[in-house]
Amino acid sequence: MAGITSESAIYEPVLVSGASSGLGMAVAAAVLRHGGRVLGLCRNEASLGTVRDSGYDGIVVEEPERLPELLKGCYARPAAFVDCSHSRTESLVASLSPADIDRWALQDIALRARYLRTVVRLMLAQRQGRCLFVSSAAVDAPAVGQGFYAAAKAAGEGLYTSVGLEMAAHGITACSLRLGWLDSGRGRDFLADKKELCEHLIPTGHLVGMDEAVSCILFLLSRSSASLNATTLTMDGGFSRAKQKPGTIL
Amino acid sequence: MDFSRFAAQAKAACAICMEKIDALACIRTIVAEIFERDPDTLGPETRLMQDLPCESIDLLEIAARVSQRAGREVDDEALFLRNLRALVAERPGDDPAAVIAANFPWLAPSRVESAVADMRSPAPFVTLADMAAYLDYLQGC
Repeated sequence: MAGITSESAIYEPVLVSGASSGLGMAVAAAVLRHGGRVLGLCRNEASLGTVRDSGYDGIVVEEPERLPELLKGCYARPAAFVDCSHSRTESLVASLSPADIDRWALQDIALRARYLRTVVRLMLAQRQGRCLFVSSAAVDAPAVGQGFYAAAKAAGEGLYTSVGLEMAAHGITACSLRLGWLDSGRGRDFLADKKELCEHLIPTGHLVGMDEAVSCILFLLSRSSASLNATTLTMDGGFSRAKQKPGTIL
Repeated sequence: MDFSRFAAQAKAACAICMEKIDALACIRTIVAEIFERDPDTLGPETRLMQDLPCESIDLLEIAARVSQRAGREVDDEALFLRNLRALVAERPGDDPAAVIAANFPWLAPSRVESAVADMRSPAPFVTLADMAAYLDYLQGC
C-alpha cells in the first residue's frame, strides 16, 4: 500500500476526530510516518493527553464552529479530515430513556454534522479537500444493542455522501469506509469471547487487522482515490455478503 | 482573460485583510475570483444576487473565504443580510429602520435607510459594501 500512497499524494494536513481512539491514533501515526502533518481533534483534556502520549499533537474542541479560530499555522488550511469518532451508546432501542436518546442524537449525529460543516467550509476556501468517515458494517447488520450506534453511522454516511455530491465540483470529495470487526476499541470488547467464532464466519478467515484498516484509510486519503466519491466501501473480509452459517447467533 | 493579475490582487487583498485595513478590497477580490470578473467592474454598490449570477454554492464559498480571511466563523445570515426581512416582519409594530439598526449594527444609518427602501422589492439586495461592513465589524470584535 505504501507504493500506492506516496508522501506527496496524501491530502494533508490531516485533521482526525475521535483522535484518542485506537484507530484514530493508528491513522495519525501512519500519516506521520508518511511525512504528513496531522492534528487530533479532542473532546476534552483527557483525550488530548492520550493523543499527545501517543506522539502526535491535538487540540481540545468544545464547539466545532470555533475551529477556524483554534487552528493555527499550517493547520488553518486542512486538506483532509478523518472522522473516527463514534458512539458508546449501546442499548436496545426501546430501552433507552428519552433524555439519553436526545443526548445520543446531539452527540452522535448533530455534532458530527457540525464538524463536517465547519471542516468543509475551511476546505472550500482553498477549493480542495478530502473527507473520510469511518463507519461500521453494523449499519447493514447491527448486533442486538447496536441500533443507536448503527443509526448514527448511517446518518454519518448520508452526510458524507451528500458532501461528496455537493462539493466535488469545488475540489472537495468524501466517502465512507465501513469496517467489520476490528480488534480494537468496542470491537475488542465485543470479540473478547467470540474471536474464533467470528473468524470462522469471515470468508477471509481473519478479522480486519488494524494495519489493513490504516493502510486502506491512507489510500483513501491519497489523491489517486479521489474518484471514490460520494460512496461507501465495506472492509469486512466479505462477511456481510456471505450467507450466515446455520446456528450462529452473535 | 488573464487572471494572473487577479491572483496578485487577491494575495495583496488577503494581506490587507489580515492587517484589518480594507475590508471592501478583500470582499471585492473574493467575489471577483469566484465569478471570474475583473475587480474593477465591482463596486461597493454591486448587488450580489441581482448583478451577479450568484447561486447557493457561491454564497457558501464566499462565506468560507470571508471566514478564512477573518480567522473565525462568520454568520452567513448576517453576512448576506439573509434574515433581515424576517426580523422586520416579526415586529410589525416597530420602526423597520430601528429593527435593522438593532440587529445589523455594522450598517451605517444611511444604509439602514436605503435597506428599508430596498425591502419594497422582493429581490435580495445585499451589496459588497454591506458584506465589507460586516467583515470590518467582525475584525473590530
